[in-house]
Amino acid sequence: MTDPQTADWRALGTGVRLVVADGDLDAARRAVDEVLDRVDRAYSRFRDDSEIVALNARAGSPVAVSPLLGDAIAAGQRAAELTGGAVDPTVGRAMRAIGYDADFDRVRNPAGPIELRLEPIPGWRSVDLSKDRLVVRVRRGVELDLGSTGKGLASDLAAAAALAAIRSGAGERGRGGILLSLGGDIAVAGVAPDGGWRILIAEDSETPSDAAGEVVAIETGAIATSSTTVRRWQRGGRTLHHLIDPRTGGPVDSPWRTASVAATTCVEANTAATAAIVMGAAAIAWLGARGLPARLVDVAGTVTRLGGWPEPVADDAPPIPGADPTAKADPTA
Amino acid sequence: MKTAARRSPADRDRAIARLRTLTIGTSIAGLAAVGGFGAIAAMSYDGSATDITTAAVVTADDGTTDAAATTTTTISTTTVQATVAPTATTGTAHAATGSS
Repeated sequence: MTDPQTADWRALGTGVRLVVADGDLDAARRAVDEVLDRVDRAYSRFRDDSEIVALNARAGSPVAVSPLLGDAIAAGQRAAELTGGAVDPTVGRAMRAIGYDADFDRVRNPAGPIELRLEPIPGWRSVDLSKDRLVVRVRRGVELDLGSTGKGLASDLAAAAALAAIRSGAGERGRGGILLSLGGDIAVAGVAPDGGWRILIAEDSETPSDAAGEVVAIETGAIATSSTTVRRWQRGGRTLHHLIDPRTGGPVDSPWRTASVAATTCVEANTAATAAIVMGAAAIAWLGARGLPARLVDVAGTVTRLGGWPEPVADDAPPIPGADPTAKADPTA
Repeated sequence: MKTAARRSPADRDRAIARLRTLTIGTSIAGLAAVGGFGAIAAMSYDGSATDITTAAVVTADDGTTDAAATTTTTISTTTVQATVAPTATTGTAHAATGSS
């Protein structure tokens, strides 16, 4: 197998990394771009002509949606059901209430104080989705935000599309592999390089992949990370972040600052990582019951590994910046 | 010729009381059975299923994986599939996971 080829660019307001093993990088990138463009038009909150903006504007009425938006809403509802509502697609108003109402590059710039009027989010059952007819009715006053599950779903779809592109016409089944990172939500597909796809575990997805830190390998599936340490901004002297506690409608106050989870799909990995932050201490039992490998970092930097998440290789395991190198044993084992 | 002993009104009342006891007992046992089986059914229900279009990764006989661009598959809405845990490794990473 030849050395994998890599392309980096930005889309959907975040970094994209595409790594292709034994395949046409350009063809793979075209496929990824096509998927991300469809995602942007379907469920970007920050694009006036997106489907989801139109859907939110017509809350209370049945609205026909594209198959992609239907799938994304279904993924958001499933995430809510899986997590008991900890990850919920109806956080749109809450996001706007805390000032996250534009692309993050604009949100993070200093702005004046805001008056926080927090209220519990309405919940995913306030959205009626007919998958057969592709019709959605959002209860009046409810706004959808598919940011969390939507990004994971986009990674899954883009990785699958890129793999199909490099195998199209190749005439040799079973060759070629893809790693697709969308803002740190990583999905892999096809044949992994020898030793697997190596992934640096960081808090910030912009961390260079050759930085020192804990590295793990996967051959299939996905890894995603959620953190309260990265997407933060100030309003009126108050520090806010983008992970909403559905019970309050405000940024969650969690004992975990970062959660990384491995799962079969990226949308599940992202769902579980976000849920872990929101659930707090209860996340240990929740992840353990589902057998999801996870790495949780508490606010003091102490690492807890669950579900078979490996201890780092000793010689190559300096802590992530700010993290305590002392790892707790799996409390569910 | 032997004839049946004549029954008194008190015998009749006792027989009716026994029948009533049997009827009530059977009803209670039936209700308990319905409740018990219902509880077992509720505990063993593993969630509803829904159709969702998502990336599908298929493991072939030779151990390689394949993926279709999109496919429609029926998945449980209340469980997640188990996955293989990552392994610890060394060397330069292909990518970094983290929040964005």
